Amino acid sequence: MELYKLTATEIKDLFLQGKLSAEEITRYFLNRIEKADKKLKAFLKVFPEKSLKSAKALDKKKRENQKLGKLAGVPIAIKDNMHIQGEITTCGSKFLTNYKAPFNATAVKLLEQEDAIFIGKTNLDEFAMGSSNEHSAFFPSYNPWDLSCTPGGSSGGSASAVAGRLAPIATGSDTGGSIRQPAALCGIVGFKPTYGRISRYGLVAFGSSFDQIGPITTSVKDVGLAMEVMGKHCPFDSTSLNLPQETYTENLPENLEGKKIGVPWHFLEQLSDSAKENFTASIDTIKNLGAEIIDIDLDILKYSIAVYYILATAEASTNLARFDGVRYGVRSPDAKDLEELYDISRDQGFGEEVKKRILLGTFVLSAGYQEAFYKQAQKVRTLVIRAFESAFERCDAVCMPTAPTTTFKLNTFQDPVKMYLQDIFTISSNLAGLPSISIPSGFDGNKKPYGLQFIGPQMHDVFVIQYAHTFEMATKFNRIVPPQFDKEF
Amino acid sequence: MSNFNEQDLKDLQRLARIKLSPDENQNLLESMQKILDYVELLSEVDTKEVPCCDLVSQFQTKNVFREDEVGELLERDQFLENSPDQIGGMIRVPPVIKS
Repeated sequence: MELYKLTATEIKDLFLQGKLSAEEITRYFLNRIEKADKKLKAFLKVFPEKSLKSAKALDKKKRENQKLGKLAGVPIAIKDNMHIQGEITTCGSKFLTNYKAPFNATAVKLLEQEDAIFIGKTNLDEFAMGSSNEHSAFFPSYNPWDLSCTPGGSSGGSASAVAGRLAPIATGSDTGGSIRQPAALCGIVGFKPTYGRISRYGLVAFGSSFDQIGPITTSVKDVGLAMEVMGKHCPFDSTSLNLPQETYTENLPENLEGKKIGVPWHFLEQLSDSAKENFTASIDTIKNLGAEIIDIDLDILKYSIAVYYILATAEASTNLARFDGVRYGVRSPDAKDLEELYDISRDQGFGEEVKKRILLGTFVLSAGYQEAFYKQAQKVRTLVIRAFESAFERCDAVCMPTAPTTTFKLNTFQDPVKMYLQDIFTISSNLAGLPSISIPSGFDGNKKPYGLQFIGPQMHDVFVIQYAHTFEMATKFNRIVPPQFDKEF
Repeated sequence: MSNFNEQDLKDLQRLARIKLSPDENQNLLESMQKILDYVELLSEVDTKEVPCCDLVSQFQTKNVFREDEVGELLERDQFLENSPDQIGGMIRVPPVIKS
């Protein structure tokens, strides 16, 4: 059986029907990781023993007719900035090489409660800062569609693993596009929920007013399944929404009749010809599904990168102040006094991109510059939120490409601003806390995948997932496996 | 932001408690100049009547309080497992007061 072609939902069903044991499923994916991860470098750590132990326990539970969880029998990869108790959380940083998580992230705990099987931890840009995985302190991961190219970032390891079918599902975190951009570049599905929908407890903080955990999958239905498990209120995160849990996987519609989809055509004028061609084709599909396309004004989004790189670095400089070499993490042996301990440990422990962002964040918050940079950015953030609010008065969801390009070679961008512009279409959802999904939308001339985003108002997670599902059913791009990985290993 | 210079970068290192090596200094100076030039774009937006965004969530608009009760605790040994240097159940650091 070509198990790798199946979605998480389909794998779970096979397990529940008794056609495959959890142990067989887990061994199958462990074998794929062993054979194929040499090429992808998606994993920082694989858990062969731990995963098989969970699988065997689950098989026993099934034999004893105990109640099984919503993710029973599904192996899942966890981005290495989320805590699994007793395992190392490196966050892609030298600073945390030896940091053993003393507790479970809430999302991890919920996944475990629903019988998911943790198969390994995936690579990321250090502290989730980057769009290409080049900033991992350990090694870059690669894109299954072209092994000389990036899987995107920062959840590049998770996207690479799922696209190469080394795991049916993975977690990511998204501060400015870190779930959706890698999902797009790898031809799979990635979802950033409404801000507050999934608890951030146990996720190493980067930009606290932006960060959201979300799933990376090969189908929209799997996104729904993961949301039913992870989208719950948690008292350990004061921004966690205390609202009833929602059902994402039932009554999925077949078309978009009666729906209005907004497209910011003017803002999208700068798209390259190839990207525009792909996007226009997607919009035609959406029309054919019965939706009415409405032209909306989101020109303010041209400022979103600038807003983000002020606010997210300001928050990062504050959040990363805790890495001082005193209580945990790396401590430099070269330090002779306490001040040197901070100064040198932080220099040696952090990579260049992280240091740059801490320094930038410190700068925009410093006396004399706070008004011009930080406060101005907070005001423009208000304008971005308002622009979306007025757009959503006229439409049910907004559609945009996920990224301006398909995947690119490592070290393509030497100019930091050009790299940051990779996130031009994703960042605004984080600025406004909106639910946003990226789904595969076809390929460029070199068979590299494009992604399309549906963005909805806050708390419209279920609808955004429904719209994406109709597009997926109409196109089925999610079923195309990268050729080098479209086989048994 | 053309006037971001070496002295600014030096001051920032003190504020952010990161001591850069000399070649890192040069690289970072250049890329920070580029980024600051780019984000200056925001100065052209008219925000006179616009309030700062201090709340992202439309559905969580109140502070969240709880009773000050002891919940789950992290055992001392478990916590200290991650500490780079320890002595007698405490974290050891280099001298704080210079002699």
